[in-house]
Amino acid sequence: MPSLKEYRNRIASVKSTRKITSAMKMVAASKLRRAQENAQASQPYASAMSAMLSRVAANLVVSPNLPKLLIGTGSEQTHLLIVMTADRGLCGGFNGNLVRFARQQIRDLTAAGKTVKIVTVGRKARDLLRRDHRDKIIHSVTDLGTKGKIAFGEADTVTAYVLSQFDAGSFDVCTLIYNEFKNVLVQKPSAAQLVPFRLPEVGANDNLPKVPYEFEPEEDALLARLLPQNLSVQIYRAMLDSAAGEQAARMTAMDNATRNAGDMIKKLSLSYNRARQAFITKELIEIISGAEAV
Amino acid sequence: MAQTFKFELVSPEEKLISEDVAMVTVPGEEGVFGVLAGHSPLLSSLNMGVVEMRRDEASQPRRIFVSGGFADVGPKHCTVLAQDATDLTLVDVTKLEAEITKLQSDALAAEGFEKTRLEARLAVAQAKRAAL
Repeated sequence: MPSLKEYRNRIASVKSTRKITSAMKMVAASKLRRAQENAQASQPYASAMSAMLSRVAANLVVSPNLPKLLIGTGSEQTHLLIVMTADRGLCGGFNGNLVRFARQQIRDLTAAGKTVKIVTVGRKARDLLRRDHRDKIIHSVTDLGTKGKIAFGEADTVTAYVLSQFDAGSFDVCTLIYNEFKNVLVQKPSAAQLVPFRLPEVGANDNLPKVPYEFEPEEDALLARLLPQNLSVQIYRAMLDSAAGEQAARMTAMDNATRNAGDMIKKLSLSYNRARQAFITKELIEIISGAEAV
Repeated sequence: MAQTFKFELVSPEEKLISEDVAMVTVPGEEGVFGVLAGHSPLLSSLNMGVVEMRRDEASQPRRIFVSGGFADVGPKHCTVLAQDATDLTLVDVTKLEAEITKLQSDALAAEGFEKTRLEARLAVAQAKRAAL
């Protein structure tokens, strides 16, 4: 049985852990709010972009001259996976789940005889995938949103790299693997295909007025401009989703940790009190039996 | 009183402007065009340049520099999607010039992928300076 002093030390240490986790939970909660606001603020641009794309698509004549970003290279041999996680840990299974999901995808693709290349976004994705897929990682981006907010330029840099690789013909299909923000409790690892891009169904935007649109320049030239921009928008939205998800996951994890620490303190205090009581009783018995002996 | 329509300027990060205006001039890729209420539906990509908006015909236009983007025009709305938008009255000339000088020297020193990016940023900064 540990001594009273040992109990006291352990209780003190768990208490200070609880203080830290509850502070982290509070920080995550306020960051989560900001991240959600940012995600919301990016909504108008993304929906306007998707509306434009479907308008152009509705007027598009299918031809082999369409931009490759839309119709693909005609092959599916080389896959580029963009794996997006957080820079930091201590957020429950957020990074682990995503990397597990990514590994599964990599396994499936390699089993199907495809070549896989990886671009990692976020330090955790890089560090975790490096262990077993070091040879496949061709580019890494870390330290997103160090100024408190993820700038569109950061997504644009990733896009610029991806596009330069695409133009060089180094991959055929590009898939983005990120944590989709469902709600504060649920972040779901998901895969979204970016190249070739699947245009939003025209039916999905039924509220669009059915009027003949004029395009300047021609549809396919306009599409060639819209698509790269759309790629950035998709990546940017995934970054914002992932950032909000990270904070939500951290908040939940730290909430659990705080509660566990509380339980532990309760248990330890009980044992401490018991031990103290036993000690007092023992002392009393010693005094009494000493007095009787005299 | 001229008819007004809804003008929106949206950047990927947030909605910057949303108000009723009488007239907007937009730097379309195939030429600058003006938009009044009742314009026929048009989708256009934009060049680097200045978007001018007027609340009514008599007022001074508010001039906003955009580094390219897209415009969605309809009879009752005009939505400009711009990646980088700056109100020209808020631009600090000395800062901008310092940025241009710095970008110029950086672009000379850089190579390959980085160089093209810096040159693109330089072109934006120079166009902004010219628009003032």
